[in-house]
Amino acid sequence: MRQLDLRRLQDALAGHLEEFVQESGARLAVLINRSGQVLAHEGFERRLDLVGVASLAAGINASSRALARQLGEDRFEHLYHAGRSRQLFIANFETPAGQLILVTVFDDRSSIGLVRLFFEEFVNGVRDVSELDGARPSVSARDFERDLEAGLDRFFQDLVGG
Amino acid sequence: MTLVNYSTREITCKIVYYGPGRSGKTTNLQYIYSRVPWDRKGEMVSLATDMDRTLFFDLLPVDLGRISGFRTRLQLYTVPGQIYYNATRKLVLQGGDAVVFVADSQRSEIDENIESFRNLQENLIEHGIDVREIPLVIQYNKRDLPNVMSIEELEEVLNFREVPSHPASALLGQGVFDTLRTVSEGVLRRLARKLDASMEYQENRA
Repeated sequence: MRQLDLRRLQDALAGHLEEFVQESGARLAVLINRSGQVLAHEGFERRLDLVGVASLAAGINASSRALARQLGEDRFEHLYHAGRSRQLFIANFETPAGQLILVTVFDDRSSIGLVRLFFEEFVNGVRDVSELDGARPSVSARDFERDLEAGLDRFFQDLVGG
Repeated sequence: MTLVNYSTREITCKIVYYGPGRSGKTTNLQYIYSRVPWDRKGEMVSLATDMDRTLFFDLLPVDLGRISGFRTRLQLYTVPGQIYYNATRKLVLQGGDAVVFVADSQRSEIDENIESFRNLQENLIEHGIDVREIPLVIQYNKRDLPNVMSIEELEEVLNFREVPSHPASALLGQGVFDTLRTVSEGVLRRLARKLDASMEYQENRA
């Protein structure tokens, strides 16, 4: 039975992201899919709401893509917002696993030029992760389905009927 | 798409609360947020107008705990219900794993319910999602108000696919968790079937 090394896929994404943050001097970065689900992140502190950042960035990406189409463009390559001390760079790219979005926050340690430069390298690195092409699970579906009811009972027993 | 991370054993599912304007989608999420313990939920993100109408979406992350060793998380989204926000509604629906259709049970709102349900089907088709495949739960909300249609009447008009449905009064919390449980079970059972198919695929390749 062929088993792809899924651990390597996660490690490879995380490794490329770590390298990107180090090389570009960014403060933090998160790699998400179009639905806003987090694939890898680097530099996030506890006080930051990672899921919130991911969903908002996916929303921005989706709306800018829709806006691009309205204006006769296929897509906008990236978005850039400058605040007083922090700057935000949101860029999407295509992979065999679908469109991914990189959200980067940086300050005056870095610059938009540097971030864009290392973003290109990051994209090439991620595209080379061969496991993206056909990640397959190694889990017993029957066990999962058997445990589902009990798992949901544990969560809902105190909440239902309230 | 349901995101399954096999190395960290995490599952993340996106559930979208759909329905006409003011049917109680955000109220569902607010009630869930108020009842779920702090260590089982994330921050609720709301992009609303000054009038408290949802402009883009609300998001509430909920942690169901471990199922078969997998830490299972739900991301609950609402869409803006008003007809003219269809562009943003479509964006939120993108990548959705399951849908809760929140209908307003009041007799005066039946046309809005039908229009929104039709709009849901159109938008799913546009995303290439088979409307017969995606887990769908209908919630008949606002049962506490006068002049509501009977459940039988509502079922006849909206539930021709005979999907699971629940009566609810989201403001009072009634039916909110029943709905969430049904849709969670639907989306996770579907995931289990996919895992099965995927394993067969591997075995056939062996």
